[in-house]
Amino acid sequence: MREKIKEYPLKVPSTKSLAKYYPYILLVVFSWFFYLMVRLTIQYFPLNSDVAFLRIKQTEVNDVKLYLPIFYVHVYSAVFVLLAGFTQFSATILKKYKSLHRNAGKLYAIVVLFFAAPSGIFIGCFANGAWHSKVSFVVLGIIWWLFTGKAMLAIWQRQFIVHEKMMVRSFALALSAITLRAWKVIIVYSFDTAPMDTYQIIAWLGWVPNLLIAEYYLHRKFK
Amino acid sequence: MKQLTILTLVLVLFACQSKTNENAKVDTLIHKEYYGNWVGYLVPRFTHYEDQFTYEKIVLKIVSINKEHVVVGQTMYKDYKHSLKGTFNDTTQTFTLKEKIDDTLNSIFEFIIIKDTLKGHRSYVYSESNYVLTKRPFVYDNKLMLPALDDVYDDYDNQKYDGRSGTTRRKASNAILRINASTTELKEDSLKNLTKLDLEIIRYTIYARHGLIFSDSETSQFFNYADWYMPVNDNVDSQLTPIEIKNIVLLKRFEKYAKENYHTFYR
Repeated sequence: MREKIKEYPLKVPSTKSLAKYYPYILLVVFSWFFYLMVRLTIQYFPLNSDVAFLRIKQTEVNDVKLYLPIFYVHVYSAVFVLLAGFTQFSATILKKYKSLHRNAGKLYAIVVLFFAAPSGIFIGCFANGAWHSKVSFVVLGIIWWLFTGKAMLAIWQRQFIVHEKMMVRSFALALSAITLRAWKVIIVYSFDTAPMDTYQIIAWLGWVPNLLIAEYYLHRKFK
Repeated sequence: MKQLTILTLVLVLFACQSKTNENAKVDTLIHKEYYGNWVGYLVPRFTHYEDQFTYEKIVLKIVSINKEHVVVGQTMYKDYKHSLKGTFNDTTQTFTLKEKIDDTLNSIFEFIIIKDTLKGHRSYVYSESNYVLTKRPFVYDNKLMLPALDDVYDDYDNQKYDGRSGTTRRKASNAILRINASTTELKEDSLKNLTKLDLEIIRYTIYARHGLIFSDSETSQFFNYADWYMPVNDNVDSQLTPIEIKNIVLLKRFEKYAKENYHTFYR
């Protein structure tokens, strides 16, 4: 049984010298996409039943009373969820600024468990496209919630490794907000597919590869 | 008594006046059987190959022919119209009309009418064309759909030239042949998978059914080859049915969404 992991948390053992720059490159790329998500969220200020994505969801807005408020919970919570990407994967912060890690982590967990995931599951039931889009988003919401919850239980029981593994999985799913949209741009640019056809592909493509990459990363780190 | 006489005199004079005017109007117009909308295609005379896609839809309207054989009419195309004026020769039964294209440009229409067919040719500085037109009154039919033709429903007017990949232009899907925005109230679900071009064509077809002369070739390019399409009206906004008005609002909303979100990161 391993006693202590000296390298914590995002340093994958590698012989290439370029490897030490990976975290910084990832940080820059992540910052760019975080900025795009902020801009996307700004479109939804002020509260409006007919703006951006809602313009093609008027059937749901009008027929399902709770749709609009729960939709806005999901939209407004997204940015707070993604903030964790800046702090939680830094070894330096974990070592020197433990309370920052803890507080940012609590923010992430609270927003996901009480706002982002439940709202995602609800609006996922009304997702555009056929039944398989809806299944994809509901499943995503459920396992995101479960991973995050398990990660918090683990840290309360001082199980650092389980906590890290579960949080990596949880955040990989949170990143689907970004990867789903990135795939959309790529697919539309490459194939000029019709909007719903694209959507039904990215409903799965947006998060399943994320989870697979996360599992591979954890497998390599903790084998 | 005096006032009554004056009143009667005025009324009689007025009645006589209108009667003579009517008679005068009736007397000066002849050959009424030729009046109306004659619709068909301008076929360029010197084409290298039999290509129906060089035809241009035309409605030739004969408005009046007076006693002096002066003919007044209009030519109406899918995105513009011109005035026609000229003479009708009784002996040769030939019409020779000048089409005023702009201040300096004219074309000459020369044709004869045999029963319900108008046949002739058009001389224009840039091209010569023949035409065989049939007399058809414009009748609104909300069930008309675009014909299934290859290569017609591409956005030729907006195609882009890219050094690397050649010409790219938007292509419409078969949805434009299936979805009728004049008869059925459209649901969001049926529109969600349509591209902006599909939505635009479905919306423009509403106007085409009402015989609209479109304002530019970008919007009208898709209707040139629909046999039923007759460009006769300048503005059809007052003739749209309630279903059509609702559908136009919905289609415009989806078009705007597609324009802002189809290619972008924002969904």
